[in-house]
Amino acid sequence: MSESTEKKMVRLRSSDGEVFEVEESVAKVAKTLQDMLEEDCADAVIPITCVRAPILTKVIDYCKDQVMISSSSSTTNNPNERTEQERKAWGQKFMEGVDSSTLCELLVASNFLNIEGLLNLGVDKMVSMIQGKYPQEIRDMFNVVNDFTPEEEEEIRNQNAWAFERDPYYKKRSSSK
Amino acid sequence: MASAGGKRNRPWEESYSVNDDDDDARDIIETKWKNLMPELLQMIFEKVGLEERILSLPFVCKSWHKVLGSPQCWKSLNFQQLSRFHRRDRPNFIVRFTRTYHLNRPFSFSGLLKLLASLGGSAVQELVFSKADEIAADALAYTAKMCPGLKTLALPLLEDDDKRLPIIISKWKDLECFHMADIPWRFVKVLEQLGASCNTLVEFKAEAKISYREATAIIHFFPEIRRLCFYDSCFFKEHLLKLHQGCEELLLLDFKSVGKRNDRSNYSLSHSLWRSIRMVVQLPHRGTPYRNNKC
Repeated sequence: MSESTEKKMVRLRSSDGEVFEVEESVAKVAKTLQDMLEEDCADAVIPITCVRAPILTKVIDYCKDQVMISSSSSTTNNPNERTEQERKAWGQKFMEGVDSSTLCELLVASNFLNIEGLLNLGVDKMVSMIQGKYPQEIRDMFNVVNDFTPEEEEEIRNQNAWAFERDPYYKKRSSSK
Repeated sequence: MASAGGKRNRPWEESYSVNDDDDDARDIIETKWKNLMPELLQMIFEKVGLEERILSLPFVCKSWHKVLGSPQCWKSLNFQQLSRFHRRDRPNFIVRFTRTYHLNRPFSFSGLLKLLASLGGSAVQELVFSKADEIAADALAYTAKMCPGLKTLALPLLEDDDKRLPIIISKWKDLECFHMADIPWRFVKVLEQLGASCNTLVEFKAEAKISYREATAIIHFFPEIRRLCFYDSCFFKEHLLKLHQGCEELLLLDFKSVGKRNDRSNYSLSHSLWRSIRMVVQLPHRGTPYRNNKC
């Protein structure tokens, strides 16, 4: 809305060949794309080789929202705190329905495209998924296979004992009893 | 050509769900997680609570275990994130640790500290204990040697008032936030030693009775301190004024008390004076780790 001239459009191609047309300002939320656009490889379609169409849709949704937020906050003088809160709520809602496989792809995509905000949202989501879980629960959730041999696992289990050997503090306490 | 948004209705949800029993899909998902970059995993592990980082993550798979070998994953060591009580079917941290690591010796927080200090090394920036954790001076000295890069330190109640305490603490030259659960006997000595080596301190909190003499010592050795929080302490009005005037950079002087003793009326401070102190006070304040497990 701030620009009176017609909006420049950018075309992005996902790994499975779908082409998306977005406004330049939206694409520029991704630092990787911003750098590319500033180096002026304008007309061509930008291939985003490691991101599938459904994921790219979600990424573009995020970028659109960021553009909307920054344009609305510059026109109305909202107190910072409120927008911060709204942003948080929006982020939570945005990540709500995301399952673990989508989350993984989103993390890779936001890392590749260098979108810090989205990357942080993904990291926080994953941290909250891991919190309070046992190893097997984590494996089930993310479909990770336990590739340790029993011997290797045993080795990990035994490698920490050194720190607890001859603890002088404990000795003193138990002998004083 | 398809335009993003518009009539496309959440395609990511229908096209790719984990609940698919399709073997192919499972294979793809599996390799995806395996191929998640170590940098990304590290970024995630850094933020996971200490308990899961010690007991769960290393056993998930080889690649996760390998990532945990990086000191960066151990930047924050917050002992308050360890569960102290049994919760339904879940035993507490000490029981789980002893079982998981086949510990045939008694568990001690000092031992755990040594272990974590050796894992994190100079990458450790935050070391926060729970108030009642028993930490031996030896383990603290070892930590000071291994992790000199500490920025936040919250000490537990220290049982034996060790002679070495001032020297140990003075090893942390980049300290920014220093919290104490009690005031040790050699407190002024601790401040003197720390003041000589560290000039980055901006926050001091004590969750114990602190005398006016000790409070002035803080200001003397750290005139540039910004946030002072004394819980459970009482000062005379004149003393409070002097403290306030003593350090120019002061942004927060906090007396939130456990009891009601520090009510404004009990200080017999005039309303305007109280307001002037509280006014200097407004700066985003991260909360004390002793009360807030969230930080």
